[in-house]
Amino acid sequence: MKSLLSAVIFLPTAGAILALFFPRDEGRQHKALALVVSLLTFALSLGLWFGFDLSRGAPEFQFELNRPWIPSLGISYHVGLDGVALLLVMLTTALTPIVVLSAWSAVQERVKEFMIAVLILETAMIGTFAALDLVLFYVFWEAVLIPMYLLIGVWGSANRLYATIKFFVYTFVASVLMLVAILYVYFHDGRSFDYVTARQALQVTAEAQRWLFLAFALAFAVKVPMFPVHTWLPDAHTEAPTAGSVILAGVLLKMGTFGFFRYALPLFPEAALAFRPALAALAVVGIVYGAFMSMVQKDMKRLVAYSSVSHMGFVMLGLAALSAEGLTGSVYQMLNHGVSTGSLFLLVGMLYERRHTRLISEYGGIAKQVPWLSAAFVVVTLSSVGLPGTNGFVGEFLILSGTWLARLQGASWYSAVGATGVILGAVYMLWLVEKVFYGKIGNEENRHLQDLSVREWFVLAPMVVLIVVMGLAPQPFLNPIRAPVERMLVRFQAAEQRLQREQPGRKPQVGTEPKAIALARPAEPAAVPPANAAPLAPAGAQGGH
Amino acid sequence: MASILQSPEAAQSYLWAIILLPLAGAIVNGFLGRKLGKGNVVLLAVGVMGGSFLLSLMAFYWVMQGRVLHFAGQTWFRIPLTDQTPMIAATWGLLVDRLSGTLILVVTGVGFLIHVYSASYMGHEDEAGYARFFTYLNLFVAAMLTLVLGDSLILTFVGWEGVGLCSYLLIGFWYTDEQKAFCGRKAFVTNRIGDFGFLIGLFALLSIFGTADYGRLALASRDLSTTLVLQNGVFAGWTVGAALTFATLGLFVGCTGKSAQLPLYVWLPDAMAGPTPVSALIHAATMVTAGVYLVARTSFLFALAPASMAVVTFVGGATALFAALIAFTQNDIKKVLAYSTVSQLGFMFIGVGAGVYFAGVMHLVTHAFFKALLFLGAGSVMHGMGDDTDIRNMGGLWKKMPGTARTFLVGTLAITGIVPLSGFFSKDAILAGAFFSHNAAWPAVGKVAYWLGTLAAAGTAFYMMRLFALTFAGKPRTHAAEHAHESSPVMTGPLWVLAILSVVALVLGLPNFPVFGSWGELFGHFTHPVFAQADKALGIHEGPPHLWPFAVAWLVALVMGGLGWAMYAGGLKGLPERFTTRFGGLYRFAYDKFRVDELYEAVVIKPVKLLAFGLWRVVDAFIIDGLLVNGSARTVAAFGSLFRAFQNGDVQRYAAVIAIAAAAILWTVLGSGGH
Amino acid sequence: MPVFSSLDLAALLPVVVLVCGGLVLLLSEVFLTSSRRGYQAALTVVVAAVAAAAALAAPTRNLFGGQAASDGFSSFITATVCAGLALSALVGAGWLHARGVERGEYYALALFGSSGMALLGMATDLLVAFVAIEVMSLSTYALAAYPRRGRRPAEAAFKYFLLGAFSSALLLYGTALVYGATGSTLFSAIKRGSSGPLLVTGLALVGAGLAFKVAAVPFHAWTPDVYEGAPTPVTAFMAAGVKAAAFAVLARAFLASIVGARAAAGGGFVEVITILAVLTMLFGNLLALPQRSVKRMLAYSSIAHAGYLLVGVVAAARPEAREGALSGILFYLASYTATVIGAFTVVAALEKRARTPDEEPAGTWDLARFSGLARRRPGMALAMTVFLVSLAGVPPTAGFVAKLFVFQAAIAAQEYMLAVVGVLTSTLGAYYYLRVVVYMYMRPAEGEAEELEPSPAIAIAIGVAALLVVVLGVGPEPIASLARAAAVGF
Repeated sequence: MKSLLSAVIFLPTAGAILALFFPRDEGRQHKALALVVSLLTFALSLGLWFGFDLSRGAPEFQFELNRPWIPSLGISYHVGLDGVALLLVMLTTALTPIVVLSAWSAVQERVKEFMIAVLILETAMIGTFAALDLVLFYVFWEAVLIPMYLLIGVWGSANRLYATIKFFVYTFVASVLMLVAILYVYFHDGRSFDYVTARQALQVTAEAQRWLFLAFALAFAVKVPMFPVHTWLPDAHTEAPTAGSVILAGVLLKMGTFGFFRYALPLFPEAALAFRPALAALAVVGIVYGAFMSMVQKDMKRLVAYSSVSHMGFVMLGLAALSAEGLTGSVYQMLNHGVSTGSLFLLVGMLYERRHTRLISEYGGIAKQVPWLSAAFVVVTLSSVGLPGTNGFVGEFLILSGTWLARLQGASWYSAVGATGVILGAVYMLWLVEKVFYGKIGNEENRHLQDLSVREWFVLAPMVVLIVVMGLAPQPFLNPIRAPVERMLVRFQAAEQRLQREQPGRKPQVGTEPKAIALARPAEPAAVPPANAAPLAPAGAQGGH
Repeated sequence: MASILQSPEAAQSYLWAIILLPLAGAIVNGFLGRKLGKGNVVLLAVGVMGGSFLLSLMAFYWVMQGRVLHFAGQTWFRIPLTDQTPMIAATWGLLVDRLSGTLILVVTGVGFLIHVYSASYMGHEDEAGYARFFTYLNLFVAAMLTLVLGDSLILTFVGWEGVGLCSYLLIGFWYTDEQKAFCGRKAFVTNRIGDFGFLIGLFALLSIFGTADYGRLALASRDLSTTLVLQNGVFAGWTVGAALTFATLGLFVGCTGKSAQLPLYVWLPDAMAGPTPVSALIHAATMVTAGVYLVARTSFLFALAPASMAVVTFVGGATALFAALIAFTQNDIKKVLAYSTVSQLGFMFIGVGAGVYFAGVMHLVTHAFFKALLFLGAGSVMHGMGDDTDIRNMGGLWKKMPGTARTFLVGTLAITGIVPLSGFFSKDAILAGAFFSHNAAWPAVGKVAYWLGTLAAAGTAFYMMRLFALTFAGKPRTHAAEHAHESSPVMTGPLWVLAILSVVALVLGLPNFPVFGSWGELFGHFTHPVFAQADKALGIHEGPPHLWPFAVAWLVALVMGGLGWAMYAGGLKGLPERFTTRFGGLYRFAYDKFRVDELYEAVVIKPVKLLAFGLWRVVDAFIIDGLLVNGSARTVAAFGSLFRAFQNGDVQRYAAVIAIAAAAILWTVLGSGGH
Repeated sequence: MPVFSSLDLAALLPVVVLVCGGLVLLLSEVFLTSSRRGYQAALTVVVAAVAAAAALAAPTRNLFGGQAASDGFSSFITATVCAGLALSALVGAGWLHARGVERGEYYALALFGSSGMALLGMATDLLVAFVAIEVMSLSTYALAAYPRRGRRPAEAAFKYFLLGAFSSALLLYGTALVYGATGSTLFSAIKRGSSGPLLVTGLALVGAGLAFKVAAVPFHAWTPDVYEGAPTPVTAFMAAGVKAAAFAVLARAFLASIVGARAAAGGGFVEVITILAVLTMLFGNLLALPQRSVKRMLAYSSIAHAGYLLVGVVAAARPEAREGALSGILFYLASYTATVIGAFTVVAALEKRARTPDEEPAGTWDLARFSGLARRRPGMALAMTVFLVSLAGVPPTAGFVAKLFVFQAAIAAQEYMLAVVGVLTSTLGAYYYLRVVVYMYMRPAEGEAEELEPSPAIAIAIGVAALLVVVLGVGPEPIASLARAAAVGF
């Protein structure tokens, strides 16, 4: 049981090593092997899903394994899952077989290397979510780069070299400072790289804490990506092969938001509170900005990539809200984004396989030729614009309401501006659908497109099912999030009390505001504000006395 | 099933079937429709509608017994809080009271008729298209029922967006036509703008009351003093009244989107791009009235926010008149009906805004009957005319299509408000109610709305009569009109049923003059329990009914109707031309729908597109990527090459550097304390 | 003068072994004139192995009354040097054989050089250090010019010799001054010495001399020319061995001097090394950026890595960080040895073959040579990727652990600025190292892709090096703890 998690982490690598011994020109063997291995990994991870103890008082981290790795450096192989990590691991293991399947016909050359890269990538991604030792986390975090770098650079399209080097350097530069921060933490929590220890024992000055937070936040913000450090994403997404885009959108971006949730916020709560307005503001800007970018793209993948910026903005907003609803919503939105945007890239990839172009103007009116494909596309689009009944709604609703209800200065503004993203999302996504599938067929080459093949059915069916199930019955996915969110809030309330001791009269800023009528009281003549005050509460008017 | 009639508990447990039946129909038709063949598709689609209608009847039976059916559903999603009761707790709960009970009857009933009608109307579609149509139509009914039956704002919002989706899909049903596809998108986006308001209103209510459940909201707002000052959250420092005004206005923004009121009405006329049965069901009878339903449903909240009610009333009145003016000049039979729908929705909002909720809802019901009738009639005409919709090409269809013509006449008279058809009573109840209503925030708004409404009613009478005259009266003006043929009984059947309904629905609205005895204001009394709390908050008490508004309304309808007939079928034939030439500019302006679409294009859409493009090229491509990212990379590379120039393999130079460096070291160490 | 005990001999055994091995090879070259010289490389490897074993088994004691010290530190250095020797001997075998210039002298010189390095690792006396340096340098000068044909090697060797002499002069002069100041050349004496300007000046000059050996900016100018000019196996040998030995003595001398002269100029020395470290990291990386010749790029990168090692040296100034810093330096040297030799080996295997011994084709080591390698020789490409990733310091490779080691020490010594500069400059590496990967994996083979069949020796060298790099990256504990132990005994 203890080693189950490690098995899930390293099974893909074992598969990759096995693949080394297969003849390189036997593409089919490698595809089959990768598929089998990734499916086995998924099967194993189901053990994690069903073995996870949700009861109250269950240990925070389960399937925990803690062995010394490099004792002379104080590094240990410490892995374990809380609910959030569990969900993201499941997302990873579930997506990988789909990714392999999606590459079945798209990748024809150097299949061996491709599949090896994908499998190693899976290990690195799962490890990132499972690690409980800061250095181990960093190792997995960075280990993701190389295979992704190869995926984009070798199997990507025309402008792939620029894109892949940009991707690597961008993220690498942003990450190294985190390493320094990790080392700093090591010497200020009683010489330990262990996450749990660090969380309890970290003793640093307020200023140092702010620098540490920034170092971590930068690394994560680039991965998310947050405005204004998002510009690697469109290039990477556009040039990457379908499989690469799906992994990128499905899992890699989550590593950023997960990093915030697991490390940046809980390790440095006071600093996080200090930078919270900036985070929220950037998140909101990202929502609107990403949507605006999507509106003016001519390249499908680029459009979807920018929509990711917008959607991940929602996730960040939920994190910055620091209310149970917001945090839960943002974790849930991580999964949603993985599923819906992943599916979008799968669908775009299918179109690309048929026509070998990503230009929207090359398509148009193909709904009659590929009815099922377009039906799937519409469903996924609806999920991406957060229509009730799809997973997207639950996430966005929780995030926006959670922000509105949060004890956050100017919460209403963040929430309202963020909500405009819901309108803008409909604007560009439906525009895409209309330009690609509706209207008359302008391009003769589109007359003879094939509809979904059986393989593609198998690729899409799970995604669409997830979209609907997570939309109608989200509770099974929300339950694992509960405990981590509560722990996070407890940590922040503790930090808040520390701050209140320093600065008395500081208003509470963590958690959910109680319903207003409960505390309403008759106006004393002096303190009646004009009833016709500005529609949205001014940022200053927070809390009573 | 029979047990439903024995115990309300049983009935409650069956409520979901009302929604799930059409949903199941949609799913089956969606996946297998093209294989099933048209016959089975329509059988299934109509069958589930029938079943859903029967179940609705059974539910209504209990409502008549004075029961309120409430199915406390499973949790949908729920965020537990450690230190307080959850703020977000969405369930799948359904609620049937006299308001929603009435509406589900309308939705399933009219829906059933329109499904039947469509079976023939859509006959010329191919297998796939046919299946797709009924899939969407069933899906719509399911969504609409969710909207109506949902026991919380959240669930209502689910249906709210669901119907928006179906309307999008159905408007763009013939998606191979770019224009139609665009209209669908326009409808969806415009609705989304409204939904934004809905969401904000919903959030506001959540932060005030900590629930979105109608029952709990009603409980929490009962006898709530609006002068209390809120102390925390978004509304810290606001009075309850102000906060509720904000929240209800948010909801109303949603209503203006869904129910096509100013300023978000623009999508509805374009929605006529969809097949006519869709226009009848979604864009006349049911979906567009969702806004009215929402205001009525949350009447107890609006009642605490007089300013919001004033806004609702005024917007309703303005829209009613505005749309009527446009309808004057339109020549497309469906466009005329579309604008008349917008106008009639305006009336409904006057009703619910002025506090005569029952009247607003009653008009919703009667309007559902006669407007559906008119649209289906129009569809039948189009069928006969080979899909021509320009009334200038028609004429003389009275003989060619007798059934359609007669039912259409009934509809026309009903909407015009000729005694004793249903439209007269519902519309007049609204106007009279508005006139005598009192609004704390804007006392005069009732009167204003009354006059706006009366003018609109006059307009309605005129343009509807014009429409009827141009279509059916006189001689055929074109070859197509010459050879127009009556539609199949499958289509005329529903027409007759709806025609009868639009007449007998008058019993709902008989004013309570002694002559009518217990029949007086039947619907008003029937729905009284629903609106009791709101009435109490507004301090509305039964006053003696006045006769004069009825007289006025009746005269207006009669005179304007007659005028319309005279101008287009009777003696004053020359008049229209002279008007159009005399007031050419005005006529054009009205004919171009007051250029509102162009206005929005210029003020909203173009700037946004420009802004987006500018941001992309300037901020993204130039500043961030060009200057910061690639710029820094280039700078570093430049440095590299710069110093590289030094490395020229010249040993002397290397030696010199070493010497200098050594000297520098010496200087440093000695400088820092060699003495 | 202290007595010369047999234990001293035991401690010196590795040096002796290496020297003897060299002599044997020289003689073998004279007497066994067979055309088949495969045994020479094999013999070298064996000798190296024995020497390493001897080093690890050597007793911990001061030799010759403290002129040299045999401790964990020196053992580690010697072992590292021997590993480098063995690997580069293999490379040499393949490379020289392919060019028909395989002679016993090559291995003999390498062995003599290694003996110098081993001795340098032990030196705790400026004169011993000087002698060791000269032993090391002279053989490397000769090796640099080894093939005796062609302009480039000769020029490289000459440059190296001139500048080397210059720096030796500085060293020697500094030694003289120190002796003048303390009446001794022992490091221990420096520790005790009251720090007058004389001592400080002397130490400063010594430092300058050593800075040249470790190729710290601005004493680095010779490195790219020499590294590029010298035969690739020799370059590998220098990059690994010379660096290791030079850093060993630098560390010892530096610590001695700051301890001794702390009262006066200790801060000054730390300051100096700090500045050197920053300059070295910064310029090493910056200058590597625009290189198209992979060999030259690696030369600059070796400068950059010297910078990271200097960070370790600076950190060692702080007593509380010393142990970590020294073990960091040791581990870094070990991992760097494996990595850099591997990388140079691949370069050697790929370099454009001259038709005549005198001809020097243009673009011998151009990036273009690597294009499409992943298709032609996937194994070699994979290995090269491993080396480059390790050089860039990306996990999970030896390079990452080494950097972690050093930067951890830097943080422990609260040299935050150095650490930040270090990690930031290392990101430049990500660019120029990965450019090679781009050529190997993402570009089609350019021009005539002649079938390159690396000799077994080279194949083994690459394989072993790659294995080492991965093992040191994934399971570094054995070596790491060894380094720890060595540092404790320091």
